[in-house]
Amino acid sequence: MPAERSLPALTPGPAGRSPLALTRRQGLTAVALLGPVGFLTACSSSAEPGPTATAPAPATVASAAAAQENELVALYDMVIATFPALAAALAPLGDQHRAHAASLDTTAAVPPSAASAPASADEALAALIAAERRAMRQRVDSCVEADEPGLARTLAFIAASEGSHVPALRALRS
Amino acid sequence: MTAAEAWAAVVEGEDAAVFAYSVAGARVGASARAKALNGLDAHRAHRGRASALVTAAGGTPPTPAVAYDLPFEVTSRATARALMALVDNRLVGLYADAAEQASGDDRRWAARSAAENATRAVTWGAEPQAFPTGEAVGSAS
Repeated sequence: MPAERSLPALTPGPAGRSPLALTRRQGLTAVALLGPVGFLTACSSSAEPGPTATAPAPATVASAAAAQENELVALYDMVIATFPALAAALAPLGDQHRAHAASLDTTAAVPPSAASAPASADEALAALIAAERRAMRQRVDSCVEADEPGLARTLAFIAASEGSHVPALRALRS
Repeated sequence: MTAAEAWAAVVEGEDAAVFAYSVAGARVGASARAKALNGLDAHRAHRGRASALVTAAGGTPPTPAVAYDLPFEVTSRATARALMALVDNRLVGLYADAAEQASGDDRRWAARSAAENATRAVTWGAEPQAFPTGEAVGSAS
């Protein structure tokens, strides 16, 4: 592995660059992957949405995705109401689905939960994991179907967010 | 941004990820070694496919740097995990940009890759994120 030939050094970021930037050492910093624009913005915890991320979305794909996001919100709300001990861990994840729904369709509303309450916290977490995985697949599908490129970008981010919820939920089981 | 530019950014991201995983993978504990090696393989494979997509889009794939300056020293298992989480999460945005520029199967692969990287980042200790609004939440793990 070429990496083993040179031990990376800790370097303070040049002025104007984030100290978190991982930059190639030899030239071409402007196009380096970890440059300050795309890469950092995309992963920073304080990332701003891209200019297209909040663009009005075509009604069908976006509103259908928003409705499914709100079904997830309802599921989280039901689980939290049934197992209050999980609230601290689950509420932030449910809130992310609220944010997803709002970014797709501001008029979408959270439906009353149709699911019956799981018998145990472990069953509830298993149900949430299954729902997140299903939602991730649905968001990938809706990303492909999106007519508007900015909507496709938003839906790819939402799919990523839902994927990120799965290991977090798994860590809560046991 | 054109499709060629978006995929070229992914190639550069994957090159940096391969470097980061090579460095960090040698420093995680034995129990995480297989996961790090799987991640390294995944980043190499993704680099190859993204490079082909640059060419298909009429661009020239970028070449990897010899080495990269890391944002922090990898001196422990914790810093090794943090570096892998960092590069995985950064790739999410690059794949989302590629999804915007691509269509059909290529867009599907971009979206799946965004999700794969976001998921792996959390297994390395990152917090789940609502990427479009950029709000990180407290770790649920």
